[in-house]
Amino acid sequence: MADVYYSVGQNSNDHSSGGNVSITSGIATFDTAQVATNLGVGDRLTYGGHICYLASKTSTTVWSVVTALGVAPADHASTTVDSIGHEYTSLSAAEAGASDANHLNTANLVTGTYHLFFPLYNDGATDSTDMVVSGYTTNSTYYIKFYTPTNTSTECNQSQRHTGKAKSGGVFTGFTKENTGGDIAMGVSSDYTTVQGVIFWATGNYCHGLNFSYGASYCISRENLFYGFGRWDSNYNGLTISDYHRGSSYNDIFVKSKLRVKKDQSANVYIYNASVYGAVIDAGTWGYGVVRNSVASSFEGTFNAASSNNASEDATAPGANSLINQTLTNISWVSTDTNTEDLHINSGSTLKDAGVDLSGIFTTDIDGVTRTGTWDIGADEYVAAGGGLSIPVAMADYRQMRN
Amino acid sequence: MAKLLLINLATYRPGVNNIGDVVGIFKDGHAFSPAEIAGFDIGDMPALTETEIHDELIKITPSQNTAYRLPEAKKWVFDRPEEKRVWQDQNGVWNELATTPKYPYCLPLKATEIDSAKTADKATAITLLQGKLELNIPKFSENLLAIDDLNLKVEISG
Repeated sequence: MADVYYSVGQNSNDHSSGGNVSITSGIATFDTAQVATNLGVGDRLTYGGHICYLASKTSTTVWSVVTALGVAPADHASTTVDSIGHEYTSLSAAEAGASDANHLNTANLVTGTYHLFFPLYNDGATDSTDMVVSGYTTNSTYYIKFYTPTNTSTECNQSQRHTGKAKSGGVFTGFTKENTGGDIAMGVSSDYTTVQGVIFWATGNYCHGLNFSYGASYCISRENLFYGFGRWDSNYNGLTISDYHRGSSYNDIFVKSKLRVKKDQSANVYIYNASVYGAVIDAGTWGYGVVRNSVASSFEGTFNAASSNNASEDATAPGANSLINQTLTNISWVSTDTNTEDLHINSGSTLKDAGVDLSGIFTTDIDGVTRTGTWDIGADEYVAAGGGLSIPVAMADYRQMRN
Repeated sequence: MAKLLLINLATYRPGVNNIGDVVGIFKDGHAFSPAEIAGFDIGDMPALTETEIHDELIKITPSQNTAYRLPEAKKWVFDRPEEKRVWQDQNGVWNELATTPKYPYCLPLKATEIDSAKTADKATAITLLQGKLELNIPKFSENLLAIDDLNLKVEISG
């Protein structure tokens, strides 16, 4: 079993700080601290005619490294660092290139026993090429994960994830997948694919964000932020999940973007702790949408009987212990002003302590804060000013979510 | 001033993609990484802007829509209508869109054409694009099934 990392950003610049590097038993030791803000796991280190990839961080001078196949590279005496840069400059290229002969040389992660990780870096631009994840063979043990690294002790020099807010200072704050008007920004047809911590932003008309399509089983969207996909037509969705073998959404935020369960088969879809402002959660009429701890302007369709602890601005929040007819004053988002929407909640929100404990499935919120006490409804677990700590999801927790 | 990233032999995966599939379109100043340079063909067309290339893609892009099969007319039911994605071919026929291609377009350029595109003027580059650009939807036989209900012709008699 091997963990393989190929980073994705928007440029191919050399982010190294220079100096020399030596490699011993998979540990790269630099004589000069590697301090670029957008440097981290998955980046390609080139030295003395060799290539390896940053796999974890001990400090800015000590990183563990692996080959393209996820094993320790040969030891190497101190030599000049030629460059450190992202492996790919777009998600579409990364998805297409990861299986080529210079990388895995297979799309079968099961026989190769690979975990395929794509760490996503925010170089300041958006990734605007529509793409589809397909053709990979996966299972519950060997899977694909697209994610923004957040842990500055073990993964990267600066968090690459959004702050849970639509924009700050007029710009998005993390890796952003933009749809300029194509059909779907990111489609997923390969099973066991997780997309975590990405901003999906609609700048074009009539387009979708993330789509777990027919045939994609056990896919997870979590801690993503969907922005503006329903501006032109409410038939266009931020997140679409086919009810094909239990897709899931955890801690996702939707600003003027719909979350839709689409009928293809007949397996439950799990929507937990979603925050939806200016749009609906649409479960269709088939009853496969299990929605818990989620808030939306309205809920459309027929929800599974296991749904509970939801909140709506009208009378449609489904299930036991749900809050209906909640005004925006009751809900008390931090901001609903256009372009500065912030769906964190204030201390007086009725969403606070109105959820149910789902810690058997996940334990954190949109910010990586561990949920404690009675859970809140929505993606944000309220933390008093000055509190909160960004904690990445541990691999054990990630695997637990698969079950 | 644009570059196209194209599947080549290194990234070709039978049954998943085809040589020439358009993975992305990038601005002229975009610098590809070593992995991308090694794994893809790069169609460098400095005479054309990203927008001009998109315009050529749009010209061959068929209309797509969602078709709904309604339950019995004028009857209230709880079930939503059955729906299918459909696309309209060059003859105006609506067909089922059973398989959405991983990449909508293919530009299978030969090595000589990749070289000549780098120095081609706008008119030559446009001609090259129009001559080589392929739509992937009709390459799937399951996408060639006409939906008769959507193709009923209305005959107007004099």
